[in-house]
Amino acid sequence: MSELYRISEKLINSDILNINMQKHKFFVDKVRLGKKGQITLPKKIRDEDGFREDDVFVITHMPGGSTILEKVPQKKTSADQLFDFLEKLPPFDAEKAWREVEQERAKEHR
Amino acid sequence: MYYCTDTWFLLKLFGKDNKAKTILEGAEVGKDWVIIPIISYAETIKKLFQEGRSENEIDTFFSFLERANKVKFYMPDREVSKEAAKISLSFGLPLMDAFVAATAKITGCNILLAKDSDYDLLEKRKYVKIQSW
Repeated sequence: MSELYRISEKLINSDILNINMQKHKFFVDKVRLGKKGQITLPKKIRDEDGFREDDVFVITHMPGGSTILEKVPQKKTSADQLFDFLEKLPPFDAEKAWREVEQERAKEHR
Repeated sequence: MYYCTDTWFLLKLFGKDNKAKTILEGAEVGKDWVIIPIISYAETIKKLFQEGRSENEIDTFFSFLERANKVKFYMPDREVSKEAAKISLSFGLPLMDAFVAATAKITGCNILLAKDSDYDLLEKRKYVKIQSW
């Protein structure tokens, strides 16, 4: 395991590997274990995979010391379904529409 | 958190604004509530029709909103109507805006999601807190 760690350490610092990893969408980073056993997932991973607060993960501890973290797929919220629906519609410029509503309100108030 | 929505928020949602989505999700999976004054609902429909959107698209949009169990459409009652009349007079607000602000006040909303400069005075006098982006 320590051998593997040393290799990983070298790989993390290798430019060639990083270029290859970017090409294949791999991502390697180091995180530190906190006092209460907490780790922070790097922002790049959270953003890319859309991980959010309260997401649930399954942790599988493998023989040999590796640990795999997998997000439990969640049911789509109705907000997600709404956005899926809106995605199919022609684009809508909300700010422009709002400015027009504001003008109409002002006209009606005069 | 209790949010009351002006037309601006509903249009932002129709425009797939992520911040608006987060607020809606808060009313579905979180502890938040979203109150939609019926007058904002009507004004949004009017604008979407003007933009050439079909009745079916508009109905589907609002039916998704209704699926979140803490999103409520609010019909103004006599109390809201009286409050709207009062603030329309004292703040010089159009009655339409006054109805939205009065709904926020009477339903105990912490925040009015709005971007209308007509509400500036209301916020200054601490009648209701306004949020926009």
